[in-house]
Amino acid sequence: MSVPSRTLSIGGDLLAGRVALVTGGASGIGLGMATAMARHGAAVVLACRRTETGEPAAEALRTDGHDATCVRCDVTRSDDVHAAVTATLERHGRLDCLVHNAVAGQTAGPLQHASDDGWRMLLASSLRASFDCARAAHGALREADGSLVLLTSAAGMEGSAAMPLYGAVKAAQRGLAKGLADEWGPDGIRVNCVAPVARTPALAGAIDADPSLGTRLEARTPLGRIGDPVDDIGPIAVFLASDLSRHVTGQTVSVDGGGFRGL
Amino acid sequence: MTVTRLVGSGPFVDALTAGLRALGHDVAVGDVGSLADPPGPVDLVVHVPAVPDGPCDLVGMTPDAWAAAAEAPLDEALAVARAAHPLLAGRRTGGGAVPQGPGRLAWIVPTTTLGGAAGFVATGAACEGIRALAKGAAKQWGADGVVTTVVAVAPEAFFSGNDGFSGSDGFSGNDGPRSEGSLSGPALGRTGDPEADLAPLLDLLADPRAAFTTGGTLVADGGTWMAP
Repeated sequence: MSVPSRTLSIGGDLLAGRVALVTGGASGIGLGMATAMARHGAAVVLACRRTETGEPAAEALRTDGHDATCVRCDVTRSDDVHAAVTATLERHGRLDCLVHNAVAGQTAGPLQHASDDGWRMLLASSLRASFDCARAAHGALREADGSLVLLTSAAGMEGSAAMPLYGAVKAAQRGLAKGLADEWGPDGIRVNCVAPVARTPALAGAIDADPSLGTRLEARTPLGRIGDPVDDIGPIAVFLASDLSRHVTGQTVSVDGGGFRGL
Repeated sequence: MTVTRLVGSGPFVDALTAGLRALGHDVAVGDVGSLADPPGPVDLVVHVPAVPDGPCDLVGMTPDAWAAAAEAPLDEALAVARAAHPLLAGRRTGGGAVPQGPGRLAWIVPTTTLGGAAGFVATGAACEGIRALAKGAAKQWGADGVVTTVVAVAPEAFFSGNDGFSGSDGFSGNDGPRSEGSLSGPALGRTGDPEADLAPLLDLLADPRAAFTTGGTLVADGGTWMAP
């Protein structure tokens, strides 16, 4: 694994006074994005299905001097999504960026035998939840000239033999984002996707189970390493939440060390 | 004779059917349940997803409307793929004397999905999902003798004949689905006719000589969408 030659210095006031809500914010990429945004001055709300993991994550951010809270939110429940946005607005009075990162549902394996329950969960947690997040946040994002960010995957762009249904829902989220960017442009809302590969707890577990996976992932990555959720993926969230990206919408940013270069 | 099963309905499907029959295809049209009737090897399965033919802003959509517009077409595409696999893969083991190419599974979507369009967020979501499904299926089923293609056609063609598109209610104007991504018209001067332009393309894709292309999206809109 190669190591960046320069130490990344994250911090500043790019997002001072801004508020970000991140689904699946208790760990992994969601927490990495929230952490990076908090370091740039944003107040962050971690929307988590399990507060027993979300609360400690928020507490850790507060210990580091950031404004962070946790709200319980099962993104497959529309009421939860709307309540999370409402709670954010009640606490902070505004919402500048909503990152929908949470996903659930396992459908690996042959298409013919993929679990219907897994497919339904993928649809609910990715596509329907994107719809709910967008509807719930539209008014607040319009007020703030805000940003909606959906997490997608290279699997949604190049297809996946191992997880074809995961690829399908991730592509569907890209389709949603592209259309919504056009639809919400007049409202001043930007809509973009991020396609990351990062060393999340889930990926670390998979690599533990199959050490060759990490080697294979690094081998297909020009930069030679798997990204860090905070230092590698987080800055893209900062960028998309900030005015630095004020003229960027309808795009997918691959943050994977160059592993996917097909766009 | 090419044995073709078409899943879908409406004027666009009717025109495709007429075109394919004129080219000698044995065509059966129906819903996904019709794929197994009659049973037996099939050369070409085409799914035309049922997407709304009028615009709707996302915020104004009810969850049920979203489910019907975005999730149902994607769900149906998966059902079509699953039902089509044994029919298309079966060609390889059909025992015929003449060597056969792979069976092809094709989806037809409007190019609206490629760039995204206001009012068609749900359609874009469904069809982009279908494009990735086609790629995943191609990767999984290549060894089974099943190849896939998505044909992206001009919205003017996809929605041709539908009341909403050609009517005088403003839908065909700036608010309607249109060949986005270009400030000029199609390079070939027209957006395509399902019977005369698109059915022959499907016929070509069903030919064993097209067997080496799979998983891709073929844009057939007269040269409007050229990216990437």
